[in-house]
Amino acid sequence: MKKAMSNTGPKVPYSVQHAPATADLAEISRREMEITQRMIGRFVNDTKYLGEKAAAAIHLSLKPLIDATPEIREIKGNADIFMDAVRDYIHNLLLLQAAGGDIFGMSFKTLDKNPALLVFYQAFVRAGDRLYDATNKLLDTNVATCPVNINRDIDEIATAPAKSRAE
Amino acid sequence: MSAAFSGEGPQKSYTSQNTATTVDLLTISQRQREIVDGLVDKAIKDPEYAKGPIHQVLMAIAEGLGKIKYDDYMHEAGSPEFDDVNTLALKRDIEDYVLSSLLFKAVQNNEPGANARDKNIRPYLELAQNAAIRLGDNVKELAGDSFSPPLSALMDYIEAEIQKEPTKALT
Repeated sequence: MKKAMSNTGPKVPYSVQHAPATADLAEISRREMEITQRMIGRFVNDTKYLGEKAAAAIHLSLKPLIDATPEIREIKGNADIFMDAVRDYIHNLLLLQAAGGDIFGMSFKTLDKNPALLVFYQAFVRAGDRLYDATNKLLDTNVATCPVNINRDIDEIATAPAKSRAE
Repeated sequence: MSAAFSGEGPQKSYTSQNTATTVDLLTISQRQREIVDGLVDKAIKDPEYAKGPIHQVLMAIAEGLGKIKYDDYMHEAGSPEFDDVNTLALKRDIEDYVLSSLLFKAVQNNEPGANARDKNIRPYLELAQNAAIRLGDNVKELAGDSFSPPLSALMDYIEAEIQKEPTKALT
């Protein structure tokens, strides 16, 4: 009996599985806006990050009344989709973190033992895929040559301030 | 140190909003699984409930849940060809739509129309709207515009399931 139990249970305390994963949705919204603003600053002000054309299209997407060339207006739709994908990705990342997920070190074994976490992890992965596709579309590139890893940069920004607050 | 953070924090207290919008994510995810599961049960019992691609998607999910053997079931029902890629995408869209709807309902505290302009609630409305658009687009891609009635039935069923046992914010 003892042997059978040792094979089924986790080796380390696994608080997420047993404690309710409460999350303040308003706080998550506030954090999403905060992180989105920081990313927008990078997208628009650092023209080397996504390139001048994409930066201008994102600027136009955020402020539709500004002057823009026909070429930039033509890709505004892609910039709209891109910004939706960015917000969606950040929101899902924060929900996953609130559910107890570690975006940098989660194993399938962990997910398999926690169906609740799996639901938010799957949603996060899907949002990541959409962001990658939207980035490629905006930059008119393909997956193999996408010059930036926005997902990684957002992950870093999203994780860093949370740590600072805890400290 | 505190000065460095003073510019980042909210200008007014979030206390009341925090109390009203705290939710149990485990319950939300459990409800998502229950609703998708219920959708599948209904499709198994009533072949007329969802037709064509939506029916195929639900049967594929049913197989994933161990409820049926897809090939046997669809063979008996005289199913058309089954596109794995599109069906998988549609399955994901359904799961996303249910999850985002649950979050929106929870943050809204199940009061239709309440605080839809609230800056804390609006992002959840947008998440749900975007998920609904993706679901609709995928269904149209699979089956054309004529599929709007089954899609609408699917969304109505999800809405009814959510309302059956609303996930309210913790108070």
